Amino acid sequence: MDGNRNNLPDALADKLPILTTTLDTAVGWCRKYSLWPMPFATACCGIEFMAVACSRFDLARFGAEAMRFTPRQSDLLFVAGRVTVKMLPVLQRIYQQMCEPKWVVSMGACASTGGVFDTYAVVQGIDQYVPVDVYIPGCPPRPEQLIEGLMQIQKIAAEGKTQSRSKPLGVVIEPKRTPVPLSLKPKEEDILKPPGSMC
Amino acid sequence: MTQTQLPPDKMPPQEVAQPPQMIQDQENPDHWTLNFGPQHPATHTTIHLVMKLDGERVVDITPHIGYLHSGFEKLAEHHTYDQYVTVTDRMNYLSPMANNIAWHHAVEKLLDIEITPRCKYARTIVAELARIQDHLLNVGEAALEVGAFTAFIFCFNDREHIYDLFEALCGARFTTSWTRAGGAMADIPDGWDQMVLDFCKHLPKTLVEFRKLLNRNRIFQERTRNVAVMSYEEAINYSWTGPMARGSGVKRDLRKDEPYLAYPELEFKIPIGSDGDVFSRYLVRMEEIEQSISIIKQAVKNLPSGPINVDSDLRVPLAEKTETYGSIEGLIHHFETVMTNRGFHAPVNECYGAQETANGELGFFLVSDGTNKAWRAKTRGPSFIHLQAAARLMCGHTISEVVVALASMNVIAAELDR
Amino acid sequence: MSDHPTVPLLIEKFGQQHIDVREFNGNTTVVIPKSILVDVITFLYNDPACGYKQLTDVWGVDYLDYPEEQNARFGVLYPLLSIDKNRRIIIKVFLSEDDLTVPTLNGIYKGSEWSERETAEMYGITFEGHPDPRRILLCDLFEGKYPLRKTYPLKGQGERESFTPITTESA
Repeated sequence: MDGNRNNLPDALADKLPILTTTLDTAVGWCRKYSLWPMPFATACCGIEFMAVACSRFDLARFGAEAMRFTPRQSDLLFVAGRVTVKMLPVLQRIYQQMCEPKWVVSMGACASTGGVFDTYAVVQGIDQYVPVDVYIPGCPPRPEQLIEGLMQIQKIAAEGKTQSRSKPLGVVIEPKRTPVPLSLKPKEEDILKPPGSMC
Repeated sequence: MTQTQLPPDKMPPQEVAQPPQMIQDQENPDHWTLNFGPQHPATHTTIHLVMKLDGERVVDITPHIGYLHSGFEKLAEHHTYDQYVTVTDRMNYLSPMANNIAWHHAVEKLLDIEITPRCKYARTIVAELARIQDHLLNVGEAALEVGAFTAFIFCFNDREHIYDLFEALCGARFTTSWTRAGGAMADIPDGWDQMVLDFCKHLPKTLVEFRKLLNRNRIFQERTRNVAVMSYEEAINYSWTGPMARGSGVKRDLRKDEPYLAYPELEFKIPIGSDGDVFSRYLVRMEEIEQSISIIKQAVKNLPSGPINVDSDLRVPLAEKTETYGSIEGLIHHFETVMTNRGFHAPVNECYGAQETANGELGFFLVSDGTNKAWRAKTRGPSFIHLQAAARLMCGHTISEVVVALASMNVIAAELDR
Repeated sequence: MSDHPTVPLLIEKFGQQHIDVREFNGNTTVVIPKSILVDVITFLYNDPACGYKQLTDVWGVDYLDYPEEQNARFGVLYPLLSIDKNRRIIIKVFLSEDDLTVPTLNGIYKGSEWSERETAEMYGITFEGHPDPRRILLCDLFEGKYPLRKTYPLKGQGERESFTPITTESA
C-alpha cells in the first residue's frame, strides 16, 4: 500500500503500528486483489479462458478466480469470443446490469475487431457498442497475455479511476514474444541458408 | 413534468426486448416458463433453452440457437481451399486439429489426391490426439455438472500437455491450421514422436484416477444413469453419429466403415454402449480415449519416413524450400501457389468427404466451379444434428438433469451455429 | 453407368426417364424431379434391399451463374446412409426461382428438422408441412434476406451496424 508515513514525526511513525493513507488508495488496493470476473465466453477464447483459470496458469494468484456468472455480482466483464448480431443485445444488457465500478476486457481479435470473420453476422469490434477498457490481441491470446491484461486491470483498479469517467480507457496489451523451448531451438547447422549472395 | 429531449448521442439505449425470467402459463397456472441462457455457465456455449416447468420437472423445451452464427459457409465461398483451414480451427474449438484434417480430407477427395504414407500416419496421430483432447474436456464437463470439479481440473491438466504437443508441431497451441492440401504446413519436428510417447505413458495414470473418482461413485451414477435415454432406432432416426450414437448401441465408426488415413493398417476396437443414457456415453468416451492411446502408440512406432507433402509437380503444395531458393522454377511455383488469384484449381464437380471426429461425423460438402475457391462448402457439424433431439431427450427430467444431458451431448456453439 | 447397387432398384421402380445418376470420386448423386421426392425417399427408407435409415444432412446450393448448366437455380441435396449395408446415396432435386417449395421429410427422418430450417432461412426455400418453420440461426434483422444466396454480399447489408451504442455514462 502506498502509505504516507512522512507526515508523522519520526519517533511516532516508528513506534505506532499505523499507516496513514487516503481512503481511495485503500479501497483501490482492496479492489485490486478481489476482482470478480464474469466470463462472457462465446467461442474459442472461452476455452483459453478456462485454461487460464485451471491449474497451470491459475488465475487465483491474482485474486480473480471467483467467477460470477451473473452480471450483478461481478465487476469485470471478459468478452471472450466473437459477438454476433444476434448476441450483441444480450451483451449490452449484461453490461447494463453490472454495478459500478466495472471494467470491460475485450479478449481476442474477434471481440476487438471481428477478426477473421468479416461477415454479415459478426459485429466488427464490440467497442462500437460497448465501452472497452482493455484490449488483448491474439486469436486466441495466449494465457500469459490474458494474465497481462488482468494485471493491467488491477493497475487501473488500484488507481481508482472508475467513478464518473466519461470515456473507456482503451488500453491495448502488447503481444509478447514467447521463448522457444531449448529442445526445439534449431541448431546453427540446421538453419537453411539461401544459396548464393541473395542478401 | 415534461421530459427534456436528449441529443441523439446521449439518448439512453433502446430497451432490448427480452422475456422476463419466469412467466406463468395462462392456461395451466402450475406451468411456468423459464429462460435458460443464452449466457449461462451450464450451457457451456451460447444456447438458449426456453423451458416450460411443472415444479422442477420440464414439461416442454424449445432450444433457440444461432447466437454464434458467424457466416462460416459464406466465408468459405470467398476463401481459397488452403485459406479456409484457418476458419475450420474455430469450428469445433475443443479439437481444432480434427477439423483441419477433416477439411483437407474433403478437399483432397475433390482434387483426387492421394497423400503420402508419412502424412497419413502423422495425421492419424494428430487426429487421435485431438480426439483425446475433445473427450477429456467433455468427460471433465460431465463430471463438473454433477459437482466433481476435481475431475475437471485433472482433465484440463492433461489437455495442457496436448497443447504443448501441438505447439511443438505447428507453433500455435490452440488455432493450429496445420494441414495443407496434399500434406501439412511442416513436417514433424525432431523428437516430437518421443514427446507423444511420453504423453501416452503419462495419460493412463490420470485415467486411472479419473475412473476411481467417478465410475463407482454413487452420486455420479445416480445423476447420470437412466438420464436422457435414447433408443437405438431413435438415435439413427435423429441422424446421430459418433459417441452419442455408439452410446445407444449403433455400431458405426467411419474409421472402420469408411477407412481413411492410416486406420486400416492399425488395430483398435470400437466401444459400444448398451443403455443409451448419459452414463453409457461417458463410458464410451472413456474407452475411446484408451483406444486412441493405443492407436497413437502403434502409429508412432510405424511412422514411415519420406516426404510429408505430395509431389510438388502436382502444383498443390508449396515448393520445397531448397527449390524455392535454388531454382527459378521453384520460385515461380512458390508464388503461383501462394497468390490468392492463382493457386490450385479444383474440377467442376461436387463431393462429400467426412471423417470421424470426437463428436461424430464431421463432413464437408464441396461444390466447385473450377476456380481456386469453393462455390459452396457446407459443413455437416455433429453438434447441430445432435441438439435437434434436445426436446426429445430432456422432457420429463428435472432442471438439474437437463444440465447433465446437455453436457453429455458436447454441444460446441461454433460448430452448432457456424 | 453407375455400379451403385441401389440405382437399378430406383430405375426399376420409378423409370429411367426420372433418374439421372452422377458419379464422382465414390459419391453417387441421383437427380430426381421434385414431384416424386417423397415417394423415392419412402422407398429408399422402407425397401429392405435399400435400408437407408439415416439422413445425414440437408444441403442447399445456389447455382446462379454456375459455369456448368444446371436444371434450375437452386438445388437441395439429401445424403442418405444405410448403416446395415454401409452405403451412401445422395438424392438431389432442383428448384426454380418461381416455385421454391419442396415437401418436408420430417415425417420420415426426424433428423431433418433443423437442417431443413437452416436451408429454408439461408436460401428462402419453403419446406411444405414442416412442423416448426421458424428461423433458426439468424435474428429478425434478416427478415426477407437470404445470406447464402449468391446475390447477398459477404459483409451483409448493414445489419451489423444497426445497433445503438451504450456509453459509460448511459449505462
